[in-house]
Amino acid sequence: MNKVLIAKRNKTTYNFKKKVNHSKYLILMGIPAVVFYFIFNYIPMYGILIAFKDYYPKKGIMGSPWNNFANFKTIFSNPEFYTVLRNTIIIGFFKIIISFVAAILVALLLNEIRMRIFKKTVQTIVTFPHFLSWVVIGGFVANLFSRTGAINNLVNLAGHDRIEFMSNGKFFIALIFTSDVWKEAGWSSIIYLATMAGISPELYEAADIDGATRLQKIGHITLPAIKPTAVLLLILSVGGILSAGFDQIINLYNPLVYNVSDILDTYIYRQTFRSGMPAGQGAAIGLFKSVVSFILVLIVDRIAKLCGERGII
Amino acid sequence: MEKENKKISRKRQRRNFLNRLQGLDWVIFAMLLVYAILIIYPFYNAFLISISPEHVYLETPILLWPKEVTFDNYRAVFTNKTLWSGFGVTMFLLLFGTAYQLFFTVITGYALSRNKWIGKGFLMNMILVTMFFGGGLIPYYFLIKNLGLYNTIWVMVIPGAIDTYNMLLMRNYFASLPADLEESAKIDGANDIQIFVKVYLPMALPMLATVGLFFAVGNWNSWYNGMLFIEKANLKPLQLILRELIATSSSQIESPIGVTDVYSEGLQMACIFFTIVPMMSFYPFVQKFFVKGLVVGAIKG
Amino acid sequence: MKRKLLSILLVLLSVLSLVGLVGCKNTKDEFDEKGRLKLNLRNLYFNEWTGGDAYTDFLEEKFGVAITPTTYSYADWDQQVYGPVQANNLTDVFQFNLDSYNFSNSYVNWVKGDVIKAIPDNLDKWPNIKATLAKVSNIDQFYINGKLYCLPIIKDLSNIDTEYSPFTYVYRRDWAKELGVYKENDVYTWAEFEALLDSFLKNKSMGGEVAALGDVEWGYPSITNFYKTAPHCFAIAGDGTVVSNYTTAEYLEGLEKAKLWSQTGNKQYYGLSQYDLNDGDAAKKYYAGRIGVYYENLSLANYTTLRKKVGENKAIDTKEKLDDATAIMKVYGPDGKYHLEGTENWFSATFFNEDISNAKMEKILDILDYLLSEEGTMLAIYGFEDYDYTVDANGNVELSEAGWEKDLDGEYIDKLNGAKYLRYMITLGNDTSEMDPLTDKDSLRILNAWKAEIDQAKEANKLVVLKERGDVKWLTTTLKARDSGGMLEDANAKITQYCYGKITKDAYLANFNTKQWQDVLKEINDALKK
Repeated sequence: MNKVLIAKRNKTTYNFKKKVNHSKYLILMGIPAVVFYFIFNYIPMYGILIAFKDYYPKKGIMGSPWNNFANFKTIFSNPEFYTVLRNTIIIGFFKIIISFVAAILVALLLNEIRMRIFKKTVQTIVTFPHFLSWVVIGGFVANLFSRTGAINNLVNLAGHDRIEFMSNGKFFIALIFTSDVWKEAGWSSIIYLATMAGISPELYEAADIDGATRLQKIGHITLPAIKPTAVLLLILSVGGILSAGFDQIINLYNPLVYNVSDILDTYIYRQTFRSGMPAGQGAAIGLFKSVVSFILVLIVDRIAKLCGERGII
Repeated sequence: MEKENKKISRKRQRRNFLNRLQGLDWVIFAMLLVYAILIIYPFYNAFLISISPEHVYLETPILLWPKEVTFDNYRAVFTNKTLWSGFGVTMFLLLFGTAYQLFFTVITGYALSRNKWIGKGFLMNMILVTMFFGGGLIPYYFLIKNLGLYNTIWVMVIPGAIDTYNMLLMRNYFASLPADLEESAKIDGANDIQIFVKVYLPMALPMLATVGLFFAVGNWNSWYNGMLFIEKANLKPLQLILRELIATSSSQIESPIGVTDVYSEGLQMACIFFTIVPMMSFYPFVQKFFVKGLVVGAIKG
Repeated sequence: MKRKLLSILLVLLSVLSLVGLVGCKNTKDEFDEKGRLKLNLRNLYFNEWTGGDAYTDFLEEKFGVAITPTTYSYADWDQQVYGPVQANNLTDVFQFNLDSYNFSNSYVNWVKGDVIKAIPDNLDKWPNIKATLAKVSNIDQFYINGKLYCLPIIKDLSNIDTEYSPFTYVYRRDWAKELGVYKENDVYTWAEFEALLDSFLKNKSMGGEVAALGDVEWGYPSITNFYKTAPHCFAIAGDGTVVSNYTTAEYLEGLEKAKLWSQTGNKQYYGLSQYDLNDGDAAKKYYAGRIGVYYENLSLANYTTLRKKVGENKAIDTKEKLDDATAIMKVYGPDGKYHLEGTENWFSATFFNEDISNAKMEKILDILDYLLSEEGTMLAIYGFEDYDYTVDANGNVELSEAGWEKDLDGEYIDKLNGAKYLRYMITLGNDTSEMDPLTDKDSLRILNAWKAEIDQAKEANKLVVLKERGDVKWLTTTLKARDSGGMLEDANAKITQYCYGKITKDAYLANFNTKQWQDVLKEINDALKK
C-alpha cells in the first residue's frame, strides 16, 4: 500500500498544481524559513558590493562610488593581511588537530573507566564548560594567567621566572589551544563515547579469549571502530578552518598579541567597527574568506565522498 | 537485542568489578581525576576570590581555601540595578526567545525531514549557501536598522528564529522516526500539519527538550547582538554587562569627578558566579538531554 | 486537550512574532506627542543617568525638549561609535575619543562623508560656549575649510592653560622619611631619585617582587620620558626629517636605562609585574603598598580614586598618613629639568549628526550655553536654589539636608542631576572643581600645588614638554592612517620585550627598520615637503 502511494507521488505525470496541492501544508511550514533566510541572510548579501566600492555611510551602499578592485589591491598589498591570514590558518589548523586528539583521548579514558558513578560525575563536570560563554571564560583566563594570577604565583613560588602568558605570543597561542580544550574536549568526547558504546561486546570477549591486553584491545577494536566517525568529523571541520573562533579570540586577546592572535574575523570586525578604516577593505577580506571557505568545503566534501562517506552537500 | 547485550555485559562488569581492577584502572582513574580537578579549579578559584576581601586577594599568592570571608562583593552584585535589569532581559530571552526560536526551528526541521515536496530542495540549498556566504557586518547592521529592530529587545530574539545547526538536528530526528506512521495517518485523512502535531511532535518531545535547552543556553550566553545593536542600558543582556565589567576601565581615559568606576577582581568574580550559578544548578539534571542531542545530530549530520 | 493547547501556542507565537516586528518600529519624528523637540544624546559620562530626574524635567520644560540620554561602555566605545557611523544610525549628538591614535583621519573622513554637522560660524548667540571654545588648546586643528565640526570637551584640569599632562610619579613619602632618603618638598635630582629607588629596593622588597618603581601599564617604561624627544612613533631628526622615535640615540639611551632598571641589570627598580598586561594591576599594587613609586595619569578623578583606594588600607588611618602615602614626586632628569608629556586640554569631543536640523542644533547649543552660564552652573553643581542649597548674604553656598544626603563618612553622595550630566557634553567640570561638593578638596589642593610648581619650573626654563609636532600628528596620509596605530602597539610590545631581555637589541632595532616603517616614514616626509 505504502509503496504504491510513494510510487504514485513520484510519478512525473502529476502536474505542478497537483504537486503543490499535495504538499501545501509542508510548503506552508517551510515558508517562515524561506522568509527568514531571505531576510536575514540573503538581503544583506548585496553588501558584498561594499568590497568593490568607496563606501560613504551617508550615501548608502548603493550610492557609494565604485572603485573596482582598489580595496582588494590595498588589502593584498598590506603586510598585516598576510600576518592575519597566517594566524588564522595556524590557529584554525592546530585547533582542529588538538581538539580532535583531546576529544578522543577523553572518550577513551571515560570508556575504559569501570567505576560507573565516578564516570558519570566526571562526565558531568567535564562537559559543563561547553555551556559557558567566552565572556566568562575570558574572565577566568585573565584571572588565572595574568602575571599576578594564581598560575604565575605558583610558578614563582616554585622558583621560576613568571611567564607572560597574556603578552608573549607563543604562550598566548598555547593559551588559546588550552582554553579551547578546557571548554570543548569533554563535550566533543561524547560523540566518540556514543560510538564506542555501540561496539559489540562480543568483539572484546573474543579478544579476551585470545589473551589481548587492554591496550591491544583499544588499538585493535576501539580505535578502528571510531575511525569512520573520527575521519568524517575531522574532514568536516577542515571546512571551517578559516573561522578560527571569533568569540574566543575577541574575549581573550589584547593589543600586545594582535600580531599572533588576530584572525580574519576579528580583523574584519576591528577594521569595520573599531578603527574607522574604510569599510570596503573589511568587506573585501570577508569576501575573500567566504570564497576560500566555500572552495575548502567543496574539496572536503569531495574527499569525504571519496572515502565513502555521505558528504555534506 | 542490543539492550539485552548491554544488560548482560553490565552485570558481568559489576560481578568482576573488584577482582578485575588492575594497575591500568588506577592510572585511568588518576588521569580522569586530574582532568576533573583542572576543570573545577577555575570555578573554585573564582569563587574564593569572590568571597575574599581585596587585601587578602592581593596578599595571597594562591588561594586554596577561604582565609577571610566577606560577602561584600555579592552584596554589591545583588544591589546592582544594572545587573538585575540585565538579568530581567536575559530571563525574557530565556523564556520567550527560546519558545519563539523553538517554534520556527522545529517546523522548519519537520518540513525538511519529509519526503519530496515542491520547494524542499530549493529551501535546503538556500540554507546551505548561507552556511558559507554572508553579506558582512555593515549590510547586516543596515538590515537591523531598517527592520526597526535596532535598540529593541527583539534584536536578540528575531534574528535567531531559526538556527541552522539545531534545525538540522530536528530534521535528522524527525527523519529517524518511522515513516509509515505518516502514511497510515494520511490514509486516515490527516493533513501534514495534523500529522506533525498529532503524530510526530509528541514522539519528538525528548528532542524538543534537547533543542530547547540548546536555545536556552544560547540565549543565556548571548551578548554579541546586544553589543552591536543595543544602546539603552536597560535592554542590555546579562552577559554583555558582565563583559563590560570584565574589560576594566583604563586610567588613560579622563573622567569627571564622581563618575569613576573601578572594578576589582572580587566583584568581577562575584558577577561571574551570578551568571553561571543558575546554569550550574540545572546542568546535572538536564545533561542527558544535551548528550542525546549531540549524538543524534552528529552521527546523522 | 494537548492538541488544542499546542495549536493555541502555535497561533499565539505567530501573532507575537508579527507584533514583535511591527511594534518596535522606531519613528523618526522631530517632535514627540507633547510637541517637544526630541533630542537623542549619547555620551560616555552619562553612565547610569537615564533622565527622568527633577533637574532633567526642569530643563525639558524650560527648553521645550524631550531628552533621551544613552551612554557608552568604555570597553566597546570604538565599536559603539564606528558601528552607527558606518550604518548611518547615529544619535543626534554623540561623543568620541580624540586621543585614539589615528583619529584625525576619521575626523577628516567624517567631514568628507557628511557624517558630522558643522557648528554655526557665528557663536555670538552663545557667548558662554564661545568663551569655552576659546580656552581649547590647538582648536585650529579642528577647523576644516574654516568650519568647526565638534565641541572638544575640556578635561578636568583645574588649570586649563597647562600644555603638559599630569602623567607623573606618586610615591610613598612615609617610606622615604623612614629610610632617611626624603628630600624637602618632594623634589629629587636624578641622583637622589636613584638613591631613593635603591633604598626602597633594598629595604622594602616583598616576597620576591621588587617594590621600588611601577608604571601604569600603558605608561611603561616611564623613565624613557627623561631621554626621548618625542612622545610616540615619530621624532624629528637634526635635519628636520621625520624618523622613528624608537631608534634615535636619545631614545636608545633611555631604553638601556629602562632595561637596566627592569630585569636584566643589577638595579631592577621595576618589578617583574611590569610585564603584566591586566589594566590596573600596577595601580592595585600601589594601593596595597607593594610599589614605592608609581607612574600614573594623575588627573583629578584618577588621583582622587588613588587616594581613596590607598586610604582603605588599615594602616593609613589619618589624613597626614594618607598625604604621605600619596605624595606627588617631582624628579629632575639627568639634564636637571622636569620632563612631562605634552597634552591638549581636551580628551574627547561632542559631535553632531549631519542629519539634524539647524533648529535642533541651535536648541542643543542653547541648552549647553545655559549650563555654562552662572545660573546653569549652579543648577548643575548644586541643584535647585532654596531646595538643594541656599546662598547667604556673603554669597556663600549652604547645602540643604533635604537635597544632599551624606554617607557614613560624612561625604556627600552623588545624585542623578541631569543638568550635571548634560554639562559633560562641553566640559568635564574643570571650571567647577573648586565649588563642586563632590570634589575631594585635598586631592585638588595637592594637584594644584604640583601644577603651580611645574609652572614655576617652566618659567625658569626647567621643564621639557614632550610633544608631537602638530603637522605630523594631524597628518592624514594613507599609510600613516592605516599603520601607525598598529605600529605603536607593536613598538610598545617590542620595547617591553627588550627591557625584559626577551629579545636582542638587533631584533629590537630590526623591528623599526621594516618595509612598513620605511614606507610610512617616506610617505610622511614626502607629504611634509609639499
